[in-house]
Amino acid sequence: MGRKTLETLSEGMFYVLMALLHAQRCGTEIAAFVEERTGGRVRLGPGTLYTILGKFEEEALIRETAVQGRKRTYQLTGEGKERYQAEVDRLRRCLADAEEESLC
Amino acid sequence: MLENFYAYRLMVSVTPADLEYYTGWLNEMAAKGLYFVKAQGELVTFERDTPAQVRYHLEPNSPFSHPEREEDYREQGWKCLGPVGRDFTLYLSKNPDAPPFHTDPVAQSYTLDRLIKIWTSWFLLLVLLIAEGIFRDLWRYHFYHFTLFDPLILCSAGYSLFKVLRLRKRLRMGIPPSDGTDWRRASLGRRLLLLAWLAYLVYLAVSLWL
Repeated sequence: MGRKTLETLSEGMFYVLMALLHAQRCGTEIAAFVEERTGGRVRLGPGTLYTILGKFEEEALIRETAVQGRKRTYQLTGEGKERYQAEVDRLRRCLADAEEESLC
Repeated sequence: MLENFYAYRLMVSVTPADLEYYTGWLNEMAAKGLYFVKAQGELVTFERDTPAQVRYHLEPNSPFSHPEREEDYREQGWKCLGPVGRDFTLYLSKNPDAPPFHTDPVAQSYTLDRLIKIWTSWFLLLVLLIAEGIFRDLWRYHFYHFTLFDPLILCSAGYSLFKVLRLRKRLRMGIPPSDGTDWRRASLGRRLLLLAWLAYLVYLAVSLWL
């Protein structure tokens, strides 16, 4: 059986969830947040951004809260917050393992 | 466009199922001054213009693509050129500073899910129909009259499905798609299939004549 989708989040996906952690944002604002937060290291191409938003909406990690013309605003759901926290915990474990390994 | 003296119609060298190599082929054509106008089955209409380094992107039609996004894409440097068959939409960027259409291979792999589901269903239906025909012949006549048509049609359908499945697997592993410059090697399988179809049609014509 193949790995489930969204079992591990790519960097872009992780930062999209982060962008919605404390505020509702539209696509453009999410892209700007990610670029600013990562100092340009993570860039969300137009196709990538809307694919991630669509996939997260499909998986009920985010929900659309407002539509004004082309502008759609999103917020994190409870499940999205849990998924984000699970990823943070996973990354912390990875970092702890790496730091322990480098001390040996 | 077809009345334009500078329009050319060429046979598709790479199947759209080979997304990355299809755009690699179009990029190379643009570098020679031939720009995509529209696709009609196995033919693509090109228009002559100043040669330039551009980027094409072939996007599978998925639940994540909305017509209202076109304006957002345009603002980021990607112009929608229209459909390629029923399953894809083609984009063009002439701006070298425009971000790549996709920057996350894993996210990009999700755009292939719906396409693969549909193509797999059609492929399985094809297999069932052929199997039903074989079974019916064996049941009634205790004999199956083998024709090249069945394996050829299965290979053609299976070839496209195999290509997108392989691409999705690579994308899911985080491997970005290639730049498509190696489209000649990638088109070899398609050319062999076309040759096989041609040989079959010649065989049919000769059989009917005799």
